[in-house]
Amino acid sequence: MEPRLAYSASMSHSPDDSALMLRYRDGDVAAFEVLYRRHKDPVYRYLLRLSGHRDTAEDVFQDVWGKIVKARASYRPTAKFSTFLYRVAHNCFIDHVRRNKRHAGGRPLEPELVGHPGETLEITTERSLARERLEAALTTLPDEQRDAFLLHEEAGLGIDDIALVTGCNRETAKSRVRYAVNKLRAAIDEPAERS
Amino acid sequence: MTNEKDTRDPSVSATYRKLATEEPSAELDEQVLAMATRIQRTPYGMARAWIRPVAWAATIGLSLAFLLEMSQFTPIDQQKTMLQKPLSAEQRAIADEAVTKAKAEKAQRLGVPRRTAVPTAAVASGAEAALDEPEQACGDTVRTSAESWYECIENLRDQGKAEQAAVELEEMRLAFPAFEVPVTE
Repeated sequence: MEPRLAYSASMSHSPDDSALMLRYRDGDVAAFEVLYRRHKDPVYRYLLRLSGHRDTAEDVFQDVWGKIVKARASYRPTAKFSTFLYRVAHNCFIDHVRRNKRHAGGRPLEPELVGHPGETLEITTERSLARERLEAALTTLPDEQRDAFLLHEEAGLGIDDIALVTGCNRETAKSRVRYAVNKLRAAIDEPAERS
Repeated sequence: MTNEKDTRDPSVSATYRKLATEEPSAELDEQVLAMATRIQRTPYGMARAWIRPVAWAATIGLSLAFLLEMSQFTPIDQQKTMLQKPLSAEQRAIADEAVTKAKAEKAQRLGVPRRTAVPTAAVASGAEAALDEPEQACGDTVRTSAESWYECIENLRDQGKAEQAAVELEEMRLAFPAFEVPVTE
């Protein structure tokens, strides 16, 4: 099976995003629907893994798109739309955390235990465990590193855009992604190293 | 330059891709799309659809109107040139009549009968003096041409009648706007 790419990673560079936003600004609701369907999944997963709670992710998700809708009048295509979108998502999540002190870093989400056809039970179990370990490792990452990793992996943003979205300098953003990737790799390879 | 390879790990990416398969619920999709539609259909949102074309049309219309106005405007230099053209006999008669009429109106305002209407003997009367208006020093015969009129004016100056000469010069300029007074003037 061909590995699935992050949707935004394959689409975020499309020049149509800004054009769609401008069309929506000018009254074309269908343009917004196309834009929404392009980005909804990675934005949702970004918020889900950032918060660790489905309810929180859904609340913030609605908030994000509400802000995008309201920002249509003042929207200027000066940067990539995906950068603009994830900056809004990042800020909405930060606001949500500040408003609701109960956010405590989240807990591992339950991965789907679905095996591929022709795959032995052992392989399926091993993959499932690897996903569980990755999920667990993601939750143990510091918030900034998890944020940077998700922006890199889920949103498909480059280091410069991550720095722009999270409001840090380029070197810091790069170091956060690198640390996160190293920790996650270590978590995935854990059983192999032990054997 | 950012080296993206430094920050990408294929095994981590692949595992993450398999893990991260969640999608927002259809209900959530509906809510967001309904909100986007609802906000766009507010009076302000709907107005945005036609404000832009109307603004463009208004800008173009105003620009065209301005250009049209500018194309009909005659520059001052051109107006001067038009005024300096020699007047025809008919135009000169009209100008003379206008001058006479203006003088008559002035005299009427001051309660004095028109100079043209009064007998020649009365021209030098106290009424004229009361008007503080010099007598017509150059006769109608010299007024037929600018050159003879100007010669008369020069004679008045020579006689020390500078005030009368000035009045005559003014009248002459009205009657013969194309006449160029010599530089010595």
